[in-house]
Formats: sequence, structure tokens, C-alpha cells
Amino acid sequence: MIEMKHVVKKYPGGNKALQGLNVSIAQGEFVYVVGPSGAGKSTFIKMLYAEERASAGKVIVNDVDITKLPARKVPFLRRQLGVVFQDYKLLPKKNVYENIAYALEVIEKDTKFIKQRVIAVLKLVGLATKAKRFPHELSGGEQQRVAIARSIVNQPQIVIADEPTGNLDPETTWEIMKVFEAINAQGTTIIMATHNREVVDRMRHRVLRIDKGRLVNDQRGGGYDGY
Amino acid sequence: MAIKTWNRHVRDSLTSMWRNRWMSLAAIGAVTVTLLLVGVFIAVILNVNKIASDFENDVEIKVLISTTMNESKALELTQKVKKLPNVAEVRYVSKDDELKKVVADFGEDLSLFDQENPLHNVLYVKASEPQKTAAVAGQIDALKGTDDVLYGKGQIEQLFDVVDTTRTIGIVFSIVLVLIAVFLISNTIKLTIAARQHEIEIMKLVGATNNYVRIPFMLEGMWLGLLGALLPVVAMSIGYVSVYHNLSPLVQNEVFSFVAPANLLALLIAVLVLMGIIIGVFGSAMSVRKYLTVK
Ligand SMILES: Nc1ncnc2c1ncn2[C@@H]1O[C@H](COP(=O)(O)OP(=O)(O)OP(=O)(O)O)[C@@H](O)[C@H]1O
Ligand SMILES: [Mg+2]
Repeated sequence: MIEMKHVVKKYPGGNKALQGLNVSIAQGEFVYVVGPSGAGKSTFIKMLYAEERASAGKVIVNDVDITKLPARKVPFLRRQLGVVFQDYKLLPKKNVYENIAYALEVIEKDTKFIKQRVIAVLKLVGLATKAKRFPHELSGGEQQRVAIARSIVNQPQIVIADEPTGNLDPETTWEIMKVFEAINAQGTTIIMATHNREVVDRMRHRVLRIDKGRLVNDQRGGGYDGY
Repeated sequence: MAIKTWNRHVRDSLTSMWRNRWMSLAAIGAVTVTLLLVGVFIAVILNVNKIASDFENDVEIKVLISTTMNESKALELTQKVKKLPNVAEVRYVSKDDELKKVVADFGEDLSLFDQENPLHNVLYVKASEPQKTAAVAGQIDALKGTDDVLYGKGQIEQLFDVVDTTRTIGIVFSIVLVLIAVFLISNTIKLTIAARQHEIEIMKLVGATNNYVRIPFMLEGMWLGLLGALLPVVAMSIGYVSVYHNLSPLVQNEVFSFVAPANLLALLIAVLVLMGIIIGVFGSAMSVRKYLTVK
């Protein structure tokens, strides 16, 4: 369960990226977050794993108000989530396999289990043959798929993705969307910021529209333009 | 922490060192240069100390006993001197033994003195502390039955001054040097870590705790420090042994000698290795700290 109450985010310099946002997302939901560039989608998403902290209001993730979470507990919050960052955030000096395995190593999983899981998710995103490559040896779309693989490898209850298909061709986009649909079907909450009208219109789910830091539309099964 | 996690930290530290090999080389280079200097300084200081104390311990007062005193009176005087304050050691040498020594030093030519020995019976006296030599000499001089009391007066006082300043300069210099070394090395490591700020941020974003991020970096610092100490240790070992063997014969007849390689190198190697490790580990711990404050 995710809940935001009157969340305000003021960046240093006075930029108000979120201006009193209220929203509630139940476990197992699939939610798109749409809105023009600069609307505050990434900021909204960063609130959920405490990369940015709210200036005011409450952010509740799995029953914990994370606005009050001490810094040393933040890693444990992040381990419950899978995050696909808008800029991927792959470790440049680790290869594809190591990048994905790292998310399981920090939670002290066994090497054998890690190997099984990493190979499974690599297959799922269609990168089984590129495990030994380093991020700079991959195309943007391939890097994005590594980021997606890493976000789901620890089978989190909630997957948060910031434009996970931004760099993918239409065909790969549908492949990846099918992966998200499949893990959603197993009960995982998906929160996805996207600019992809086709995706939102074809795979209908709840749509949150943010504009200028405010929630301007919240529609179940709505299309990209709200109908 | 589980063993497998430690294994992963060790593995991560080694791969990271290899994949950042140019930065690693720079850090190792900085450690190497500074530890070489530190090594040379330590060797010099230990030897200055050794030579100084050799000199100090050699300071002996030579008391020439009046020729009017016969052997038994001379022995009485010996007892008196022994009872003076600050006297550590008194050695009586009869004029016959003195002559034998002279003969041994200068050869048979002097054996003509066999008939009539021109030398004095002598007392060799050591003060409890080298600095008290002058005072003790004065007390002995005041006793009856001495012709002369010799101890090299002014020169010895000068020597102590020289030794003291050398020591002070040496210690100040090496402290400064060590501080420069720590600064240089932690700066190099800081540079390598600044380049990896992004990496640290990502690790934290995927759920790594501060310790999980920190430990591989500290291990990496330790390897760098150890590798940096390697060359200075080898160079100092070979260098000191060869310097020692070349210089020692030149000072064979002096009252001082150099520190034996085995003694010096045991200490030196321990200090260099330990310094390498400490500098590496603390250097990287200090540098990582700055980047761990990611929200
Ligand atoms: N670190 C920051 N410091 C200051 N201002 C920021 C920072 N990050 C974002 N902003 C500002 O906050 C506002 C919202 O940014 P955000 O990244 O959330 O937009 P977005 O909806 O994700 O846009 P896009 O679709 O382009 O990704 C923008 O005006 C942006 O300039
Ligand atoms: Mg964004």
C-alpha cells in the first residue's frame, strides 16, 4: 500500500516540483503516471524510495511513513522495492551480470540462488547473451532492459519505473510491457511514469495525470488523454 | 556479516582495483614515494640515535694517579672515587697494564721502556649519566693524589649539543614527512573515489547499506597501501644492507657503529607495512564518508 498526503517538494532554489499531492495506491495495482515534461513525475517517483525527501506531507510505503525514516533505515526500504531509474543508473565498472546480481548480493542471497535469478531475468528481458558486457558496450535500449531486469530480480512487492520504455523500439516495448503485465498478474504493484501514449491507450490501467506538481486527473482504465 | 558477504567484499575490492587500474597505480605510486622517504628517514634517525648513544656511552673520565702514590694507596683512592655520587663504574689499570696496552697499540719499539715505566696508574671512571661527566670529573679532581683528570671537556659538551639538535631536527622532519605522506595518499584515494561518486550513489539506491558500500573501498585502500609498501620494503632491505656493508669497514676503529641490518630492517619493515595499511584504509574510509551522506 502506498499513500501520499499533501506532499510538497521544494527543491533547493525554491522550485516547487510537487504542490500538495494526494494519492493512494493499493497492493497489486498497475498505475501509469503521465504528464508533460517537468510536471513532477520523476519527483513523485523519487519520493517513494527516498531519493528525495518530502518538504511537507506524508509518504507511506508498506505502512511506514518514510518521511520520518532515518537515513540508516533507507537501504531496507529500498530492498523492498524494485526501481527502474529514468537514467538507468547502472554501475559503470560492473558488467550486466554483476549489475543485476548486486541487488541480490546486498541482501546476502546465496551465490547459487543469485545465479539462477539473474539468468532468469536476463532471459525475460532478452539479454541472456550479453551478460558479460559492460554498460558502455550496450545500446540505450539494452541498458534500459538491464535496469528493468535489476528492478525485478529480487521479486519486490512494488516495482517503480520511470519511463522504462523511453529508449525501446516498439517491438521491445511490447515485450517489456508483457513482462510488467506478468509480474503485475502475480500481485506486484507497478507504478510507471511514461510518455508513451500507445502503451497507455492499449494496455489500459489506472492513469494518474500530474501537471505543475498537482494531481489533475485520476482515472481507472483511462487512456493517455483521460478518456 | 556472513562469510559469503566478506568473500564478495574481497572479490569486489580486487576487481574494482583492477578495473580502476590507472587510478590504483597512481595511489600505489604516491604510497611508494612517501614510504621510501619515510624509510630513508627512519634509517637515518635510528643511526643518528645509535651513534649518539655510542658516543655518550663512550664518555669516560681518565684519572692519572700521582706517581707518588704506591699501589695500595692507589687502590684506596679507587674506593673513594667509587663512593662519589653519580659514579657508575670505576676501573683501575696499573701502569704496567697501561704500558702493555701502549705496546700492543704501537708495536715492539716501545719495549725499551720496560726498564723504567714512565706511565701513571690510571682510573677509568664512567658517570651514571653522560651529562654528569663534568661534575664527576670536578669531584675527582678535588681529591688528593691525582695528577690530572681528563675527559675531553669542551668537545664532549659540544657533542651533546650536536646530538640533541640532530635528534630534534630528525624527529620534527619525520613527523612533517609523515603528515605530508598521509595528506598525499588520502588525496589520491579521494580522487579515485570522487571519480566513483556516481557508483557509490547507485549502490545506495539499490539498497546497499553504508557499510556494504564502505568495506570494499576500505579493503581496496588496504591492498593499495600494501602494494605501495612493497617496493620501499624491498628497496630499503637491499639498500640498507649494502650501505651498511660498505660503510661499516670505514668506521671500524671509531667508538660508534651503525645499526645492524637485522635490527633496523625488522622495525623498518613493520613500520612501513603498517603505515601503508593504515594510510590506505583510513584514507579511503575518510574519502568515502563524504559520499555516503546520500539521502
Ligand atoms: N534536483 C533538482 N533540483 C532542482 N530542481 C529540480 C531537480 N529535479 C527536478 N527539478 C525540477 O522539478 C520539476 C519537476 O521535475 P521532474 O523531474 O519531476 O519532472 P518530470 O515530470 O519527471 O519530467 P520528464 O518527463 O521530463 O522526466 C522540474 O521543473 C525540474 O526542473
Ligand atoms: Mg522524469
